[in-house]
Amino acid sequence: MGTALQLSHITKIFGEITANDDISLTVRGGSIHCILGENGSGKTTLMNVISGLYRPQEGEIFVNGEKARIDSPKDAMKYKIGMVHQHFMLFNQNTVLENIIVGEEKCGLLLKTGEQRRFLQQMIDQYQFQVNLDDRIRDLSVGTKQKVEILKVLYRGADTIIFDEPTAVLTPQEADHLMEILLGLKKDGKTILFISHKLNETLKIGDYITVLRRGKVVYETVNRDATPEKLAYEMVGKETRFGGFERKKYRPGETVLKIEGARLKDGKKPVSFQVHAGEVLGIAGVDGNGQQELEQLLIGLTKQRNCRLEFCGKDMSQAPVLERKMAGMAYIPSDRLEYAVMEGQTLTFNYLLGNHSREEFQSHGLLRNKQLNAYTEECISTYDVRTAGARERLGNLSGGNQQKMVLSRELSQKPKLILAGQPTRGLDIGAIEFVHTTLLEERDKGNAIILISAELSEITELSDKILVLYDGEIMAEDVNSAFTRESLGLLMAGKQAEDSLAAQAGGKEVDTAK
Amino acid sequence: MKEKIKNSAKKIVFPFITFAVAMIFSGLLLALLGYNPIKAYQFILLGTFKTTSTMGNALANSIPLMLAGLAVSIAGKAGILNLGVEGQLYIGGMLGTVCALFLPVSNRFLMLFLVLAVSMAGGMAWGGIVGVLKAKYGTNEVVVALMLNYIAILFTSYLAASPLKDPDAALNQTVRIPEHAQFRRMIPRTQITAAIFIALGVAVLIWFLFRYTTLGYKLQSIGSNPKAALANGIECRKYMILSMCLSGAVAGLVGSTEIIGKYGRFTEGFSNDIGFTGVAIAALAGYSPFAVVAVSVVFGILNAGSLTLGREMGVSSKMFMVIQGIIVLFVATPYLIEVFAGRRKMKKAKGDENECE
Repeated sequence: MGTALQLSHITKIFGEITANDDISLTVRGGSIHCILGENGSGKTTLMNVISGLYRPQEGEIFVNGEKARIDSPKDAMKYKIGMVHQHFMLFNQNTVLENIIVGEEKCGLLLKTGEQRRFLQQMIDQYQFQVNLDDRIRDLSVGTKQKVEILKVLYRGADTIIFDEPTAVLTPQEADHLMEILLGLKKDGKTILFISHKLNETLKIGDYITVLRRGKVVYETVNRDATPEKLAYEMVGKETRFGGFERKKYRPGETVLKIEGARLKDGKKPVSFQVHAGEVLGIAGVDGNGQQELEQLLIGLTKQRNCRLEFCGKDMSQAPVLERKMAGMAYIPSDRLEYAVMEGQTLTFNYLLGNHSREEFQSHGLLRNKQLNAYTEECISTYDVRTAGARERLGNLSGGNQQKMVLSRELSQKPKLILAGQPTRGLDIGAIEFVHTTLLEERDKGNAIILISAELSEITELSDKILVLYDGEIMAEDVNSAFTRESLGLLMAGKQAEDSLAAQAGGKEVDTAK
Repeated sequence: MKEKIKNSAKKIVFPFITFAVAMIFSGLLLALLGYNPIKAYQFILLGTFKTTSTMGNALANSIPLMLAGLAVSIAGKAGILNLGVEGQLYIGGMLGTVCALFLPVSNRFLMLFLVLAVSMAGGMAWGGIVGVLKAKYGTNEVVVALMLNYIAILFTSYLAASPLKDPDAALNQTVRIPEHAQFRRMIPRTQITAAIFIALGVAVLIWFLFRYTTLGYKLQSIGSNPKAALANGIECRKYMILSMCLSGAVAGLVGSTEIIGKYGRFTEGFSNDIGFTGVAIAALAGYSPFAVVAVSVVFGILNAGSLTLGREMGVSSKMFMVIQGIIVLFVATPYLIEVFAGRRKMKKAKGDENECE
């Protein structure tokens, strides 16, 4: 097939940031073309340019060889380009069918859906989507919602489909299934643009791979010439280590934190566990299975009458947040923007947060601005937070740098326990590596770490012990080596080990067709 | 660095643009009504800068506006919109008047101190109600404050109309408070009193509070992101209540300084919506205390000038309210300014916003 989509010299500038810098790209029809890059490298901006959400300052787009003028997603649809967004845009109260046909209804006086229903059912059967058109969106799993989004785009007749970080929200099994769907779409002649910052999935399905860094195309290759090392190097512009962190031997010390009788979901069994000094306890699970509740219970944002929490041998079941933090709990919330930082304020302001009652920074209610400024400068330089200065608004920093800011604040006060919720979510490779090494350093120093993460590789790479949460209950708890990637994936999906054999037999190996 | 300068420049320039556009619109309105807008503005300026007395009165006009704006700013920094300043200042004013009328204190300074302190306490309590209801039951502060305004205004009117009414007066007002409970005029033939030092003092205190104290830090953080504040051990509810108390206390000062500095007695409806003008001023000043002072002076000039306008051109002095309304409208909808600033910029702003999401 020929060229489906061609971008020539696209430049998009936001204020003083050049998000896309003279990008030229050729996408062949009927192929899967991966755009790989760190967060902030301009992937999403580029896709938004293609789908008509942004208009570039310079550059042209050609669709099937003809110059296209795309000013809105509707225009993009005219050129048969559709986008499956990272954040779903669905109406929760409505059915799958209603969500798909919205905006394209064929209306007389009453909604007539018969014909559309037949058409959609045919499509569902063809791609083996396993979606029921009459289910309400709110009852569906994340993976199924994503399929609805794909159907929406297909229904509108898209030939070129853009997927923006589609696997970020999926379980490993769901992600595998998505890969199959993508290959099926390709076989059917669709062109796919696949945006990701994950190397392995890019290598798994991409026919062509383009690497973006700082808004520029830095590397283009076909799959068979690509190696993970080369791709990673091009993404971050420096050598990165792959897993295999050096760490001291696992020798757990005394119990640092013990929690008993924590009820994470109504009507479910309460959970109890302990963390020891020099141990990383990984809490695995798909988002929304009680992690948020656990996190808030541990730090003291919520309290339960029957839940007992012991920290360093002291009963802290009813202790307020500040007391826990001052006693040596560091908290890296999974929802950074909501619980950890104040975007509208300066870095200095944010560094004081949670430290505001320490003697170091205040005496008798008066702030010691000098110490605070020195502390801010120190944190910024030790953790290499990229910023124009301590007076910059935190919201201007990239996600990775915001996380570095939070990390430096939480770790600088010599904690005994680090409660890290999804600490690398949305970060690029360089930042992820930094977070991981930092956490392991803290472990080696003899601190306890609770790592809550939906990222399986993160859990298996860092944890000494693993605990799997499903629907508010503990599915399994054991040392890291007792689990395999597959068994963890199944446990995360709520299947006990007994079922695993049967389920494995049902799954298919995904072939990496070129 | 460049970004920083640009941002701060934007911060400073923005109110001026807003103000200028509002003046142009008001001018158009005046022209539509058949008055010459240029002449009208001339009269406003002449009316203000003609003599020491007129200048002084323009400044005196701005004192209560300053305090009201500062009151709104304190709550605003903590993320609460205090629309109850009007009610709080009536409660403060009435309590201050009662103090001045009935306390058997002959020492001038003690008397002034007591009047001011009691009025602050009154405003604090009245504002505190809003804070407590919001913190404990999650009621909407705007609705509660507006309702409390009615109670405060009507109840104090009742007091001034019946039990405390001056029998010799036609208006609903109390008898004059004793001479030693009043501020002295500092400049002859103007209404400038020590109240201006109180207002400036409060401005400095607020600046200090938010810059150098942990209390100010906590208040600001619940205003910036209450969830993050909570997750870092700042009890949102407590500081929510506290911010409304502080705001109410300053609002109470508006009432008492007006009475002991200007009128010498409590008169029904003496405030004439100072509390609401304070909201406009605080918004225009971006809750920054010194900017509140500056904006208040401008509003004071407009206010005084509109009287001259009425005398010289027959324009209703309510025109001031209209101009003020237009200014508020433009502050409330900065987006409109973006539209005027050009479509390109607007698109850019939209893009930036999406980036942050």
